[in-house]
Amino acid sequence: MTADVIAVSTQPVERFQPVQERGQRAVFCGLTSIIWLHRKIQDAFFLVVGSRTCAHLIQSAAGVMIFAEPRFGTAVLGDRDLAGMADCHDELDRVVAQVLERRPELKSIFLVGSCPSEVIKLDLDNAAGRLSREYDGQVRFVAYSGSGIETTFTQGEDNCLASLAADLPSDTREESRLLVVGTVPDIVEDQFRRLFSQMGIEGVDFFPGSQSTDLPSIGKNTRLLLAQPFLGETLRALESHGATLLPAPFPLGAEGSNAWFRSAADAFGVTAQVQDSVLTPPRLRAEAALGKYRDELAGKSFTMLPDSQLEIPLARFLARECGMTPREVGTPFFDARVMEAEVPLLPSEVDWVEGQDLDPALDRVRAARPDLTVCGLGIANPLEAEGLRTKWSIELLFTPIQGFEQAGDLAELFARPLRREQALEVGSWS
Amino acid sequence: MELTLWTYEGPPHVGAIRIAASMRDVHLVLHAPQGDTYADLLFTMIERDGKRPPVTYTTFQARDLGASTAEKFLNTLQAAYDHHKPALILVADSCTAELLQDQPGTLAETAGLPVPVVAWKWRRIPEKRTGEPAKPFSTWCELSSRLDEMRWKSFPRRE
Ligand code: SF4
Repeated sequence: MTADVIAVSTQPVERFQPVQERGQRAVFCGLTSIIWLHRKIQDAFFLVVGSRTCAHLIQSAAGVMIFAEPRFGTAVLGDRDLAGMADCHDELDRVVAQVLERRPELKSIFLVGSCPSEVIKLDLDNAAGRLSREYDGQVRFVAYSGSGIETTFTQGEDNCLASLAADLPSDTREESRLLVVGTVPDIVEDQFRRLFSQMGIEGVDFFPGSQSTDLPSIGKNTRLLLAQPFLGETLRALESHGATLLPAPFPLGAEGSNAWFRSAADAFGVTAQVQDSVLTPPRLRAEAALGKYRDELAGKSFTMLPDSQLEIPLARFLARECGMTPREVGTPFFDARVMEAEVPLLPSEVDWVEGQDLDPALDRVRAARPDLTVCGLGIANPLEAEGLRTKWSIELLFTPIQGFEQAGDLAELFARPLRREQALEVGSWS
Repeated sequence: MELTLWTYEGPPHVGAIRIAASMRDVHLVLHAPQGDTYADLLFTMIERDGKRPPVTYTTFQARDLGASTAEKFLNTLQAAYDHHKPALILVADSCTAELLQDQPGTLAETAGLPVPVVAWKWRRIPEKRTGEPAKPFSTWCELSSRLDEMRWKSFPRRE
């Protein structure tokens, strides 16, 4: 494997210190998570309590990807609400009734806080409690913040799951149970379930699942595996119920997936022999799939601008399994606890950045001219116009990328823009 | 409160960005939280503009609310001027910033920048008429009247 030629920082997580930047940020707020959360949790509605900007943000970010009437909407605060002339709670009740009239089959409504609702201190937790009582168990109401003053992009999912985690039923069973945490596409969930089951780990729960009424129970025998790297608050909420985290890198690439499954297998006492017989065939398949892209990717440099929180495990994957050279890797924030098993695998001689200061960061991209820049939607086309190749980080949230079977697809996502460079005469379009 | 399920209607400050983007050497400093930076993609993705629109967002966070969002605004204003060196700066509030009442226009006047600063206020839209599109028009009127005024007051007349 290419791992041999890459200098690895064997530093422990305590000594991993990205450069801090505090300037203009170019990231979505947590409301954006609603786009994939509402697809996954199929009996729930996400009601943002916010402004016209919030409504327009979700619409613009979801773009062309949603055709049917979506299960999300915005209760737009009007002048009277903001000026305190109307009782916001009465108004909210009225809007909720309107939603339920259109969609009587809904089982849960998430009340999602925004910057304006937080600045005027509208207490949505309180509203959720009141509405849950009013609808008497027919509909569950859960409040969380997706606001831009509290959350970036994927942190919206973290807050959503953390508030769901607060009232999970408690599990008093004696035997250990595995809970996989983080939204993954159904196809990935099925593959994961199959491999766990082949190793004899049965009854694995996924959180969130596709039904909001079907929540996993949790207790001191629950073992947690994180499927997504942005769930620090959810992790802490689950740990407060007594659950314990199984330390593992994230299931991205053959190496990450292998270590992830083995972490669970070790905890559940699966013998090395069984682990090998179940995990080796899909790992070899994943490595073969990756091999096709390694020639295209090896030696190419990349920069990641802070966006999705997936940056650190992806940089690990691209460096170790695809032979790429990370120049600068930014992440909106660094959660040492969540990244504990990733850090020892990271390549050294990379400029790691936490936070953002957009203009200087773009200047550094222009100076370094990496072969590929992974960035948000707003920045990609201007960089393309300057002759740089880009990958939209939001695609990494909408595409199945986790697990062995997706390892090749993941590499392909990064190979495609580079291939386009060869196919097109560079700079001929703008 | 009004339930909105589907909207193509942008907030009014997108109109201010549009004005800035339509002129040379004008830069907008928008007092706004980080999520509002999505407006960039309206220009770069949907309209496929080859440049980022000329806007710098303050991207204030909850921790700044406790400290000083006004200071954050002034720092951003100075950094935006230093980096972009525009001939004119436009300043505006997003809907969240409006609730903070930092008044970027008044703040910007104290900053002592060597270029004219125009504060943009959108006319409050009567509630009944919120169905209207974003409001570049009032920005444009404000801007052109200020430019005209400045031309007579401070720009040397070119014969
Ligand atoms: S940053 Fe705040 S105001 Fe802007 S869209 Fe997000 S929640 Fe709404």
